[in-house]
Parts: sequence; C-alpha cells; structure tokens
Amino acid sequence: MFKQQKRPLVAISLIVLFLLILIPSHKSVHFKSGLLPFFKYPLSIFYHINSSVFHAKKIFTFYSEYLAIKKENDEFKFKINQLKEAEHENVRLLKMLDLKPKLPYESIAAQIIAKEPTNWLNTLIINKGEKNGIAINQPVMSFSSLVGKIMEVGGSTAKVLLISDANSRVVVLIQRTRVEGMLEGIGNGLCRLKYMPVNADVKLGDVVVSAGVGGVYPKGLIIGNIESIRIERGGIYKSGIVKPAASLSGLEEVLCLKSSLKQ
Amino acid sequence: MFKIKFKTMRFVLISYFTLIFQATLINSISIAAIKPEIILLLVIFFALYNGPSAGMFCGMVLGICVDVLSGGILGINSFIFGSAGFLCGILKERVYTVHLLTRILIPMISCIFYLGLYYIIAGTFYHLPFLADNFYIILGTIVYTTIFNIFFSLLLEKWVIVRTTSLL
Repeated sequence: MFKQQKRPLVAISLIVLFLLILIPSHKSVHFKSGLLPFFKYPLSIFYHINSSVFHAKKIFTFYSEYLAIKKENDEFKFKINQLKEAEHENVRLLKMLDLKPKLPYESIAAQIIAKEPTNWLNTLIINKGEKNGIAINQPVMSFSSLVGKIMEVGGSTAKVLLISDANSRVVVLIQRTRVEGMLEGIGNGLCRLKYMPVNADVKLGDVVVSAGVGGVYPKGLIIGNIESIRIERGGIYKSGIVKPAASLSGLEEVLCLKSSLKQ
Repeated sequence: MFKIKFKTMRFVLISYFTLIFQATLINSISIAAIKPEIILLLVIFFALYNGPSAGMFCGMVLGICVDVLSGGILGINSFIFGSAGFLCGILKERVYTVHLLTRILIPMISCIFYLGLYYIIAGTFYHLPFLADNFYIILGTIVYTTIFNIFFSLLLEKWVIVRTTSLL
C-alpha cells in the first residue's frame, strides 16, 4: 500500500512538474539542448541501423525504380541543356536591365540522428548545431525540396520542425498559376493548403512552391504536389491536401540553408 | 548494497536503450506513421512491480528524457508519465501483473490517459492536429501500444526479472 507520509512528496513533485510546463520554451531550450549531447552518438548509430532496415524493406522495388529513373535521367539531361541556355540568356537580359541575379543560398549538410519520440509532433534531430553555423528559423531542405525549418539549436545538435507538423506555417504558391495560399501541417505526413480563392485555378498534381513571404523560406523552393482539392464550408475558400515531395519518413540527410546569399 | 546498485544500473541501462529505441529504430516497426509508446509501457511495467513512489520517479525521469528528445514543451511528458507511473503503482498489490487481462487493460487505459492529457495540455500551449483529422493516430496508438505490450512485458519479465534473480 502507498504510505501516507509520502503523499505530500508526491503532490509536491507533481506540482513542480506542472510548473515546469509553464516555463517559456525559449528558456527551457537551454536545458533541453544541454542534455541532448548525452544521446547524440547512440542515436546516430541506431538511426543508421534504422535507415538500413528502411532500405532493406524497399530493396524489391529498387530495380524497377532504377529503370524508371534511368529513363527520366535521359530526359532531364536534355532539359538541363535547355535550362543552361535559358540561364545564359537570363544573365544577359538581367545585365541589360541592370538587375542583380538571384543566387542560391549557401547550405550546411547535416545527418538526421533521431526522430520525434511521440506520435503528436513531427520533428527531427540533426547532428549539426550552433558550432556549425546552424541558427533558428533556417530553412531545411532535402536535396530537392523543402522539409521544414530549424526550431531549436544546441551546441552540436538542432531540432527541425517538419512542414507536416501542425505548428508549421508556410506561405506558398501554386507554381503553374501563381495562386497564393497558406500551407500548414496536419500531423500525418501530409499538409493542408488553405485560403485559396474559391475560383482559383488549381488542379490535382499541381506543384506547390514557397512564396518567399515572411522572411524564413526563400522563394521558389519545391514543397510538394496537390493530392486532393475541396471547397471549404461557407464557400469562400478552396483548400487542398499537399503531399510533400520529400519522403519525410525516410530522410537521412538534410541541407540547412544559411540566411546569407552565396557570393 | 550490491542489489540496489545493480537494480539502479539495470533500470538506467534499460531506460536509456528504450529511449534510444523510441527515437530511432521504432520507426522501422511503425505502421502508417504510428509507433507504440514503449516508454509509457516501461513506466507501467516498472510501476506495477515497484509501487507508486518508484513508478512516479521512473515516469518523471523518463518523461524528462522524452521531453529533451521531443520538440514539445519541457515537462509535459514528465508530468504525464509521472502521474501514470503513480497511478499504475497504486495497482501493484491489487492486480495480478502477469494476467493477460492486466497486460491488455492497464496499457490501454494508461495510453488513453496519456494521449488525452497530452492533447489537453499541449493543445493549451501549442497548435495540435485537429482530433477529427487525426482520430486514427489516437486509436492506432492505443491499439498498437496494447498489442505491443503483450510481447514487450513478456520480454521484460523474462529478461529483467528472471535474469536478475538468477544473477543475484
């Protein structure tokens, strides 16, 4: 049986823990990032094992994917040549108009060492931190598309808030029609695109890119494709479900974009 | 003296590797992005065998570690796991821990308690997914955690209790 003399101790402990919740997150982050190095190396090792298991599961689909990718590669080579031509033309025209060309951002490559241990949130832990030039709100990409932003930074680790998390908000554009909307995570690996005008030209499969509004995400980063569209209750706005282009569950490495432009 | 030290060491090691497992390898066995709450299961197991005070302490320590690894609020998991550990610990002398019904009902109720309280507390400070959108997360977590516990508790009993007894 539970001893009576321990009751005040239990009550005090629970009250202290509840008060801990009330500490603002910008203050508690120092405590959290201070303890994270104790887990860093085992997490890194076990995450590699997890990635191997993930790939082993997919090995049977690799060959057919390889053939499809090879075919796609040939098409891309042709397109790259065309784009190079267009780039040269673009630079010439910008010079003529006396405008500075938009350069890609500098990036820091980082490895993922752990994932969110709970089912509610969608975050990652990476093996680079403040010492490596990572800062809060830096956009985080897979090698082709946006995956999130830095939410907490420690000395040698950082936490990434994925775009599929319910706390994530990104102002986006439909690449084809330039319709603007707000992208928010819905927690199950997908995102919801909200606040598009009801008469907006949006189709299934349309590519969604960042709008560059708000100062966190640069313009034009690919985010994903529209999977479904519906008109919101009240008939004022249209919304859609967006599937991120990057496989958020199978990520191993990411790029953190620095806020300064490459010189 | 040796017994206490060995028990503490054993608890620390099991907890540490369970934490690492929950943040990494558990993703390999997740179904539709749902993973079992094995830290909660460890707290329940420990509380049922050691009583309310030890259960609460174990819940608090493991909860703080989950908070460190998680992107959520500091203290939320610690508070809920601590409470769950305390409540399960009270049942120590009232339930038959190795009974199948105990293995199913206690994790199920604890999981509902954990998810419900997490949603209420985190929802106050954070933006959480709408319940309607993610009802399957709640249901899936409860079902998966409960089924997982049947094997997990057997493993813990076999490896932790039997091995320790034979060593001592």
